[in-house]
Amino acid sequence: MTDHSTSDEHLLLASAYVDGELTADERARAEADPMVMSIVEELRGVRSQLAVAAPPDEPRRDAAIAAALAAVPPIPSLAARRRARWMAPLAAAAAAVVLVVGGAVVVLRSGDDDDGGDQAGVEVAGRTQLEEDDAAAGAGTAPPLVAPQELATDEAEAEATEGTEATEAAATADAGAVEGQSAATTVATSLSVLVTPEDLRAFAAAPPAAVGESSAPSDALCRIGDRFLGVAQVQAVDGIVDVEVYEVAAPAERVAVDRQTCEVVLRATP
Amino acid sequence: MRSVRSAGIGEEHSVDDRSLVAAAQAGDRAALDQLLRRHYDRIHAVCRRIAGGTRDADDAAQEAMISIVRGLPRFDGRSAFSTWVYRIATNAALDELRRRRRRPSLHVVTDDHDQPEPADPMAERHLEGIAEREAIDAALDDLPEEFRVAVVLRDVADLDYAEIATVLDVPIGTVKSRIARGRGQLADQLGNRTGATGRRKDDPPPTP
Repeated sequence: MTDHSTSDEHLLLASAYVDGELTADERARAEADPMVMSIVEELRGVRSQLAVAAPPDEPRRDAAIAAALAAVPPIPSLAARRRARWMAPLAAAAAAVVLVVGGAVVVLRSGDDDDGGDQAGVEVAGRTQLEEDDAAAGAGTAPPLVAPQELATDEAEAEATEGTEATEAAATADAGAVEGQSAATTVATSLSVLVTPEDLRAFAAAPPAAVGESSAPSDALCRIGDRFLGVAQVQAVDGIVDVEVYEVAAPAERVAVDRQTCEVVLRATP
Repeated sequence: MRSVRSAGIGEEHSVDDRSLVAAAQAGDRAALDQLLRRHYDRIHAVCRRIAGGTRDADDAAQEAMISIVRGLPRFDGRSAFSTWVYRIATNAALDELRRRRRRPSLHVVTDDHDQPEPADPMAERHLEGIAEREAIDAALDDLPEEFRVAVVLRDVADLDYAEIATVLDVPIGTVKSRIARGRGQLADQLGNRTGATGRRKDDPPPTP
């Protein structure tokens, strides 16, 4: 303070007065004190000076928004998804990963990597679906959307989800499944709708498998047999979830990164 | 519609933001575009005041926009969209600031390198505006980081104490204290302190 022998109390009172954050009693006390009201005027001056900002450069604004929009994974058309499904090597192993989320089960079906299924130690599903061109758009540093508490194989789940059309058609029933109303198994068409943020938050807050530290502490780690898998950087668009799956060979070491596109399948827990 | 200043920018847009967010989460790119455009200027201003330089603010604002898009599927609407957005912008700006401080500095490069000559009154006012902005930047730069961020979120982003407490994850009392102390220091440095004479520091001395 330069010229004022202002006490902290005066300053706190004046600042809160400027912001309209005082009770009626406090406000009356402030207004009865000329010193406080003098500081109020000074702080208002500061506030108005701070509020004056040069407008951002318009081309910069457009470029920033364009860059952000480009970070959104393109939503694949149904035809493209069908095509991708049939073009994908049917012999490739697909991992069916069951994630227990609150009152629901999320199944991530992936299949562009034999090792992925093998690493996961899960049974092979009959079909695969690849949308690798989404991967670049989904690449980033966003924290994981879901944190698997438990991974398990579930052939029946994988079988029940075969066929994009059928599973999409059952999306409405799936919403009910998330709410625990039925045991329908289907592909989610909108993760944000079918899996509530509360579900995901509860899931993410669940303690991870006891695997020690990860190189990315916020990522979810799951134990599959003798191996540990991490799941991170999830993007969900129209039921297609872009997931980075990696194997953790030892604590604090990420040895293999494999970005995959998975279908999200939900079913109710018993 | 309430004014931005009286209601806070977050409040003013809250209803429309909600529907735009829902549409954007469902894959509506036009809604997402609108949402981003609506908040960009304020995000940039927050980044500008926290990070300090225009170039850093540009970078931080762009990082923030990308983070917003990527994080949108996880936004649950429990807090105001603006609160969530400014948390991201604050973190992006602080990251940018820390990056800049780690970079070796060979020479000073100002953002307003193309300052015009004061050939006319308009140009003179322009220069005064630049000088004032630089003075504010310098004063902000001298503030401890926690004071600066709290003041910027209040006076630039127009968040209320509760929202700032959410963004910074500190108690409201801490927010109140940081804002007051930050403003007090700024007032000292910017010459707003009038003192008993009722005179600004930069006022000419009284004539005898």
